[in-house]
Amino acid sequence: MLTFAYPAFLGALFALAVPIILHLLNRNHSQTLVFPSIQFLQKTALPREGRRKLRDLLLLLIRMLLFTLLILLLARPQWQKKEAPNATSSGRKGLLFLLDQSVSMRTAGQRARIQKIITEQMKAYSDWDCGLIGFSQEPKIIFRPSQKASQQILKWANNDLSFSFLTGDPDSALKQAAVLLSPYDKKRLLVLSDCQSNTWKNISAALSVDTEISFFPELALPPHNAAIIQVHSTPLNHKKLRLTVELQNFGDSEENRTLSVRLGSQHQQQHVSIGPQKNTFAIFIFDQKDILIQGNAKLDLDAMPFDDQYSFWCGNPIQQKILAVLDDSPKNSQASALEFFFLQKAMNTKTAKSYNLFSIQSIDSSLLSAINLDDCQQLFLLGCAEHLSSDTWQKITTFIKQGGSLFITPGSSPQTALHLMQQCGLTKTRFLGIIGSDSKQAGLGLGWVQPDSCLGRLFTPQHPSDLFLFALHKYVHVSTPNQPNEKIILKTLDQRPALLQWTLEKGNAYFFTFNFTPQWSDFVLSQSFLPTINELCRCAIGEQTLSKKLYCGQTPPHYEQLNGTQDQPDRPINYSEPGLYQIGAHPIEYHIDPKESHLEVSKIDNLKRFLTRGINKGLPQAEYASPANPPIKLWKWTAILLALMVLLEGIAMTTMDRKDTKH
Amino acid sequence: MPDLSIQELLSPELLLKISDYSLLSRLAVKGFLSGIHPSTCHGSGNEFVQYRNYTPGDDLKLLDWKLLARRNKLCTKIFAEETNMRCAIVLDASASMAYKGKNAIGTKFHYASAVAACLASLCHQQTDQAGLFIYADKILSATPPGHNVGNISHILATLQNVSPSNKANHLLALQKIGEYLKKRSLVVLLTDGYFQEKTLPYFLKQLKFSGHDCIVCQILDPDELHFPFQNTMQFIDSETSESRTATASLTRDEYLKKMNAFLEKTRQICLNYQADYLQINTSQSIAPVLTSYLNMRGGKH
Repeated sequence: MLTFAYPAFLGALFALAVPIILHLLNRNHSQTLVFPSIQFLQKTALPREGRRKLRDLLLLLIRMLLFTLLILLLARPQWQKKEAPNATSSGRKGLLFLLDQSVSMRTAGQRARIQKIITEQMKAYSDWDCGLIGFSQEPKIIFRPSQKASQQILKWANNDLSFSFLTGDPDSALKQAAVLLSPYDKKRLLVLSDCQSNTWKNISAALSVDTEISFFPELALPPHNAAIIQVHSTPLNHKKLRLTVELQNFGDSEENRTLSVRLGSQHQQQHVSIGPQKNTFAIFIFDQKDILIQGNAKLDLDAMPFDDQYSFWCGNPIQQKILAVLDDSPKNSQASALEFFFLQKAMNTKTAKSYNLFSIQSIDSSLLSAINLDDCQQLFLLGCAEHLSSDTWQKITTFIKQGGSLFITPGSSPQTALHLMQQCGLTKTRFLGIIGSDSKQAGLGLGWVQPDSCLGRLFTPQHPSDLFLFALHKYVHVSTPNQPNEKIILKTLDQRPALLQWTLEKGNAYFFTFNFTPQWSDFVLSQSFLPTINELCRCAIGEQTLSKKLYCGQTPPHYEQLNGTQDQPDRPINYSEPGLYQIGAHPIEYHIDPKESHLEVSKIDNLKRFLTRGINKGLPQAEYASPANPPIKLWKWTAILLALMVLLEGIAMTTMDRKDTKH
Repeated sequence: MPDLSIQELLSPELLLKISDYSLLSRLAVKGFLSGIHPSTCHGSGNEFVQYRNYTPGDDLKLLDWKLLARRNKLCTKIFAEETNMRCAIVLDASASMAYKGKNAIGTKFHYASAVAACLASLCHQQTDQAGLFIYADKILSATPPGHNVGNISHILATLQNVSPSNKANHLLALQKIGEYLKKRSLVVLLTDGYFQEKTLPYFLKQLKFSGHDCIVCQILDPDELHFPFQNTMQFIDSETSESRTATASLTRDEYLKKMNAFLEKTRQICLNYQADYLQINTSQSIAPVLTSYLNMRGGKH
């Protein structure tokens, strides 16, 4: 049988139509001329014209043949001999099941459907050699294709068929399937998968073109699915704990579900409504009874139940160190001290009633250059930014780049402070003036919060004036450039920047355009500005402070103690399933990868076409052929023929031209 | 156009760009006449030419009495007679005149029209009478010679309105034109000259018999004279629509041979009947025709 290593080149044969079309178009378009009188003209052309037509036709044929041979040469023709009838693989028929065992197959009724398909197919192909490959993250040949394996496959499907909690990667499995089916004359691959697009993308494997591939539409994903994406716990004061549950709806219709959260003996539930293809957050407040406690969040079960449950650790994370730098100049030291008092109240460090995430220390600005900032997570410059030297600013910039957070309040000369910050590349914000310095423009409050920011998630006021009702007697007016790394988090009621966030590599700097006032703390807590500072600091230190969250299949981390010994887990870790573990004092969570909850599927026709494209990473399809029967490569013969045609064309051209000139 | 020389002014490229024949003829004739002594026609009139001896029967009023008194000799004065020449321009507007080759600057008809306009204008300036006859298969337009202002305007307007078409019926047309010309005239025939064998001799003979002078201008395209084609082509006769496929490179020699024989024969016929023959190539200047006209006019006197 004639095959081609690069059959794609054969598509160029369509280009042969071009000279033919040109020939046909030009055939009837002989040159005509209206001449004054033809009485002196002899009719001489006909015999010559006939010869010219013959020559043109012959040349056309030769050139078309030449072009065809060139294309064939590029397509690398080869002759695959048919095996003798008594050969071992003659007439052999191979059937292979490719079973998707990823977690997305854990939908309701999927197991029964697969069992039914396997039983039906085994009956239909009883005389074929049957095999089975399962795959999730890694492929596994469960049964090699053979006549004997048929019964074993049936038995296995009825008793031992199971699915993992891992993501699916069919690429290696397909490569193995290609190898297992290669000795067979008739090849059939039955793919038992939901064809989730996350699983079936990035395929590089290819099967031989004569492989028949079947997918089963009844194994498709259900139309609706809502999932718990993650749960985040935050210790609050008065031994309270806030749980933020992130939910996502992967379907195209709104989901109204009941979410129940259990934390030790406490239990709460909420009705949640999630818009199509949207995320939402549900917030619960629990009493914190233990330092470290296991919790579980659960949605009403749907057709994909594996993502409706979520176990998590909650408790007190490691304390974060805050360093507050105060102005030591006699003129401003009192204002700076008042701001520090406010900060202490905001961080709850003044009262030792409950667990404090933050511990706070203060130093004078003149000492900052001598302080090592390595064990400090957050730095507050309370009205002293303009007194720091440029070397100190370089040190602070390095601190931010390494993941630290900087908070700045304006001092006596915010213009100088902004200039210093511009010099060290922290910002491009420009100073415009100080509003309220003449005490006529007092009474401006905060009225807008950036909805995408960490604060926007917690404070969602219905009306701008609901947010913070307190007077700003004096604040700095700045103009912010339109830079991706600089954004406004809070604005005043007259829409001027109140809090700016500047991102610099791993860390952030936050610039308040006003000074903290201790009187604000007298307002009701939920309405005051105190929790804003607290939340801001919590956002700045990130989320993974308490427990390490991993996806099933990822290897657990190693934790070393100071003496070099490695922490041991409380029980053997089965990291292919979701679960909660502790390695030493470090809590670990294993969850199912949320990408398995997606409902997007690949098109079966496209998949079939792609899989049988016959080329595997640029290797010719012949790589898949049986090594006992190598194909005969014909490209040399094609090249010789091509050369002959070129010669023939040359001869035809010269001889005919010579005849023309003789005449 | 102060900077242009006469040659430049009369260059066919320039002239044929002017579509208004009135303007064209004025420019061409003015350019051509500058530097040439105006040729006046002498005849019986007021201008004294010579004396001759009195012969009985001469009008006594022509006797020079002063001379008789002085020398006692009878002499009669002879005066120059002023005549008006009539010029009939006969223009062939058959379909073959519509041809324009690659090297020509216009169609043969356009070129002939330009020549006709120049001649008519020249006649008008010299108080001669100019007439225009255009024919194809029949007489398309006939303006008998006259010297009023309306005549020249009519001629120029007619030239602009006629376009070549149909097969030429030279014999019939020329016969009809001959009937128009009752008085002695100068007949300028502008044609490509594809006559039937006896047409031209017959026409010239008739004109000669009637006492007319004749200039035959054979206007040909360079393609007709040199046959520069190369490929095999289908040639379609512009008048008969007959087609003939021929390989130009092969048939050229034969064509040129026949063409030259035809041209020589035409020239010979003109010579036989004492008609001026001019062969004009449409890539050349109009000047030869005008010169020939003036020579002819001068030659008569």
